[in-house]
Amino acid sequence: MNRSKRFRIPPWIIYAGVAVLALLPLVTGNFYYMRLGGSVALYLILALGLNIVAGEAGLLDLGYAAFYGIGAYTYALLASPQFGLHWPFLPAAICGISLSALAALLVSIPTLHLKGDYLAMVTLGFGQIVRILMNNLDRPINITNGPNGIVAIDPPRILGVTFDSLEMSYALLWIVAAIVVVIVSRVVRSSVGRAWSAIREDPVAASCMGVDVAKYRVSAFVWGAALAGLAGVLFASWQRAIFPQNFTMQETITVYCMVVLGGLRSLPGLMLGVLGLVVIPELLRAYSIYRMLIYGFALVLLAIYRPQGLIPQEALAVAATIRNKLRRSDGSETAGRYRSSTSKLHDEATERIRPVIIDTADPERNVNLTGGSDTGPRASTAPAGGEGGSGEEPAEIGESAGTRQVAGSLNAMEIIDVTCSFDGLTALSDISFSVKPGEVIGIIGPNGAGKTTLFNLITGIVKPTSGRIIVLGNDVTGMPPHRIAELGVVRTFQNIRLFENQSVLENVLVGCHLKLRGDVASAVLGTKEYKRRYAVGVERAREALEFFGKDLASRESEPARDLSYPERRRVELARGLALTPRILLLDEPTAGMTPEEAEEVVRGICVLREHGYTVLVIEHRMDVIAGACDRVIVLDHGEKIAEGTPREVVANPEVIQAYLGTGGKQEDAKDAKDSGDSRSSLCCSSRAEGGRCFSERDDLLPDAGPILELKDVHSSYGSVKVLQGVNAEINPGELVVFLGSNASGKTTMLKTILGRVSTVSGEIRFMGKRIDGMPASEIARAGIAIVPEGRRIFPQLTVLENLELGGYMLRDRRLAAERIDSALELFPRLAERRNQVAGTLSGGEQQMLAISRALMADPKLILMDEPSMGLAPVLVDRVMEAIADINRRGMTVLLVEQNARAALGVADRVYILRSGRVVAQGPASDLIEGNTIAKAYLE
Amino acid sequence: MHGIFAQLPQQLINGLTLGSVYALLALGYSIVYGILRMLNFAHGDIFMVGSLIGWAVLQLFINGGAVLASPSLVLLLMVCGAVVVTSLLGGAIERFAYRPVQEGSRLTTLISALGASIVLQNIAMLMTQGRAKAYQTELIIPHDWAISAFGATVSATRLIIFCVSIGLMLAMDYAINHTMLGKAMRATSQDREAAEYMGIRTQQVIMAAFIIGSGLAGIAGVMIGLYYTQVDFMIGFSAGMKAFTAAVLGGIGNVRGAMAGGLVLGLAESLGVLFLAPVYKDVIVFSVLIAVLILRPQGILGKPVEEKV
Repeated sequence: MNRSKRFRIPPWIIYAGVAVLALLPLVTGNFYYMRLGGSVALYLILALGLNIVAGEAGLLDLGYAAFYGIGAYTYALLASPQFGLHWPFLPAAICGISLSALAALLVSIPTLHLKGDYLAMVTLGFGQIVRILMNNLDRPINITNGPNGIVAIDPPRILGVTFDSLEMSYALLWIVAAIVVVIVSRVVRSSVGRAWSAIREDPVAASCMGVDVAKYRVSAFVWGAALAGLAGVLFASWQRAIFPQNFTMQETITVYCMVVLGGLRSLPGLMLGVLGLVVIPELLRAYSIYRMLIYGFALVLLAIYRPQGLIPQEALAVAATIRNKLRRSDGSETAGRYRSSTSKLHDEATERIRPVIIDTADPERNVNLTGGSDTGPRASTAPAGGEGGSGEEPAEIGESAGTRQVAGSLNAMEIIDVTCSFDGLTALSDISFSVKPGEVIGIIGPNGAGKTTLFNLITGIVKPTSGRIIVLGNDVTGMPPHRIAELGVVRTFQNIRLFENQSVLENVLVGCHLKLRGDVASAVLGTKEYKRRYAVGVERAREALEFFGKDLASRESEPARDLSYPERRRVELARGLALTPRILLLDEPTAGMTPEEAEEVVRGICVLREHGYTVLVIEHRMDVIAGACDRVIVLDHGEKIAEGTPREVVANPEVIQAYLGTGGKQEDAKDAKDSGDSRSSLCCSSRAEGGRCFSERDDLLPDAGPILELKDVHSSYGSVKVLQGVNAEINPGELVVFLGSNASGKTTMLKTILGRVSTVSGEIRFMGKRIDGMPASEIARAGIAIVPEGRRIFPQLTVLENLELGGYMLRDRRLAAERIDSALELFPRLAERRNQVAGTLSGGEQQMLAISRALMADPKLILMDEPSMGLAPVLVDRVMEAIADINRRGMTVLLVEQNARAALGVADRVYILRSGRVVAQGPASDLIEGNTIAKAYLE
Repeated sequence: MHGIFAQLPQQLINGLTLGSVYALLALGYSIVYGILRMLNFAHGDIFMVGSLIGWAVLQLFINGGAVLASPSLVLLLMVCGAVVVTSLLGGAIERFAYRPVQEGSRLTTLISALGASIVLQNIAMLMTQGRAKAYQTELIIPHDWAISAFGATVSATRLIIFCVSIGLMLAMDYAINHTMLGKAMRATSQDREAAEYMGIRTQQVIMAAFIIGSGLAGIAGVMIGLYYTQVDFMIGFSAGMKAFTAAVLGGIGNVRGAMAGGLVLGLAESLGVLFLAPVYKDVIVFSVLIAVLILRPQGILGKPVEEKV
């Protein structure tokens, strides 16, 4: 980032350069320079169009030159002796542009479902077809005149004036180019531009904000093609002759180079790219045969060293202009004007969030205020009726949710017998529940219970296999996500899905999409109405931001990716709130937050409830659930196992069992482990006893030092700090368990040990040697194997092949074969299925495969990441027995588990992680007795 | 109509021959795409380089319309020369143009691949002065070595091309399914992270995939030279498109599918010529590509991929 700051070219120099070119005829009448200047204008239009498709909307259109060609040929055929038609400029130009746009429509609609590369290839194919047609449609009927092209094209004739002199056509070109620059930069800043950016950054999140992804993809395509068509029309009328080779793939690549070289989505960048790539080749005319070679090298170097282009897009630019505009409007017209206005927008937006903000700014006061005072909020369930005099505006947030819902005594949401399965695996089965308006429902359950799937179903991202979902009286089963968002259902995501490269404010403005959409025309014209609506939108966005913390509003112009993890969570919440939803679905809103930050979110949810919002929240922290929820629904293995108040649910034995795991046999398992008695049903260990499976561990045992040592390890994912000083030791032969609820840093710790996540500070030693900073494959070769989270078996390989790969490092094939035999002996179930493709195994079988695959390499230490996750209780026991058995034979095991009971049954020592730190440790037996674990989980 | 039926057997033969070369090309493409999920635009140009190298080797042994060594040895040397150069080239492109952008966005990798393709094409253009090069196929494999039946002529050239291509494909199929490297490649393409955990040095596996895929493209280049008896620096672009189309037809990343896709494409192109002017044969290819992508993007044998939310 520093690098880009160092050699930044000030944009005004570029603007000045372009302006000089535009006014060239005043300086010189030189034919050559005028031609060059005309090319710059044409390429500027082309680059602006491509920038919309590839830069703003992120669609790889490799057939761009075809649209350019269609525009040019249409104009040429309508205004040349070819057919004897001599249309005036405007109708011919309109035909050319429309035909290009139509072609784009025809290409883009059937390819809507295609992503990235596939779309690139379809457009590439389309471009080639168009070129071949242009080249060959001189027979049997002569349409395009084939390779000879169309010559003697009419000069532009507008309202009887013929632009036949070079100066006049030059002026026409530049006037059109200037208009295009203005229009495009305004469109890009309108709601359409934000929608394009949103679908580029994250189509799923965009659709959940009410953006119709399909529509905006098509519109980006059509806009780009229309501009290319316009450029084609101008090209034909300027050049007076066109040939098929003007519209080849090479032309597309040239325009891509311009757009990418200068900087996608940056106007000065585009201009620089165009100037550079039109002028430089002319300077190097003598070397013109090397031109494409140089382009090629430039592209590769650019992709490697400067993927953002020479003048990267400024995330701040848009936000800054808004602020200036607001300041201006505040100065001249003052906010008072808004207040006295009776327009609908005024009611809808300007005033609406204000009372709420007063509430949240001071949570203490907030509680008092809910009784009803100057701001006039009321209890959530009370009908709002015809409240809302001129002086005392009701809290709009509350009203929008409250009144409309209470009007009918409908349920806010009804889930009726919903089942959802993927590839035969059932994620949710026969779930039914209903949510009353204004309720806050907690959804809890262990990992893999189907909670997020439930949200995906409600928001339309996933379609249910059977059953119905009714939201606010509308059957939304099978509706696309953006339509469901329009009904007022908004969600946040477990793994935060912000539009990373957009500023914070722009992110939240996408939440206002439904309020601001349809403003293209007024944005292009820059009408007062548009500015006012925009200002109101910005105001709303700011208020939504402030609702989740004053500090966010002060960072509104920073790109979302630069924010810390908890800040990003809050921006996501604000973005959802800006949509003025009626139902909010929050997927682990406090994950990765400190207790204080989490408390703030709980307060936020409480305020939302007071204003009549209906909220569904997936949470792991029971304190959040207890603090915020009216009712809790507990899912486990895709089934609803309990429903009730937080207090009831926590006391429900079935819930405790689901959360802490099935622990019925923990004592027995422990005994078995101690006495060395093996009686497991799955592992035929009695026969395999005594190091037949693994080589003896004598080499390690007498060494006494720890096999793995973590010293004050810190690590993070980007800005998200996960491990915050973990200290731990694993001794040879031990079975050590790391416990902790979700997002406590367990998996990250394993990934840090394995080199997948790099350490920020601290040391990791394996058998005395530093391993932090080594690549994962080398750490594996040093003797650490893992049974990864979610098993990560190779799904399309057979069981046998999976095992072979586990022994990849073994050079001795005979030894590998022996190991496979003993692994299959350990898990007879796998032996039966040795030639089956691993992806078709059941969850438990996959887990066994993952374990035996890890054992194949004869590691010195084996890491296991939640092997019980997603398994039926009976299988959890079996897997744990197998792990105990492996350990009993001398293997050192580091087990990470959420299922505390199951893990404690087999562990020697335990560490408890919370928020990236070890909060408790000790022998397993001590922890079983105390209630330390229950505390760490259910608080 | 009668003319069409008369030409049918010959076009079938041509289609199978051409299809086997496309299949070889698609196989290499699919191996790379399976692992990196990137459009390797340079693949077609590597194929072009292979065909030019084959031509250059052939020229070494030709003097005044006669071959100086045993034709089979010359053919072998042509293939070897092409394989050596193209595999080195493939490895170099992986190392210098693709590896640095592995973590980049789709657009970044696409730009880098396009750049690599343009560089190869233009170097080839400069070295050949932009002229087409004639393969003197008849000097190695005489024209009169042919079998005629049902109105079709199966020349020895076609037979050799078909056998070499099919033989290589079978060998590759075996290698991918039964050698440790093949398994490591499949593992890397399915789950690179898990493959690392197995101790597989995935970067080396990727390099190997590029080298093998490029070597196959080089052989395909020599075969196409023998078939068309003329090559130039521009054949790579449309060859790359055909390789991708064939790979998509069979389900991208699916090696056997790519081979089937290549054969289907070759047949479609040859049989299409019966109905349309030859200048439109690329239109047929691109139309097939567009139709397949629109109607069945997962390919004939592929499976759809779902995004996790």
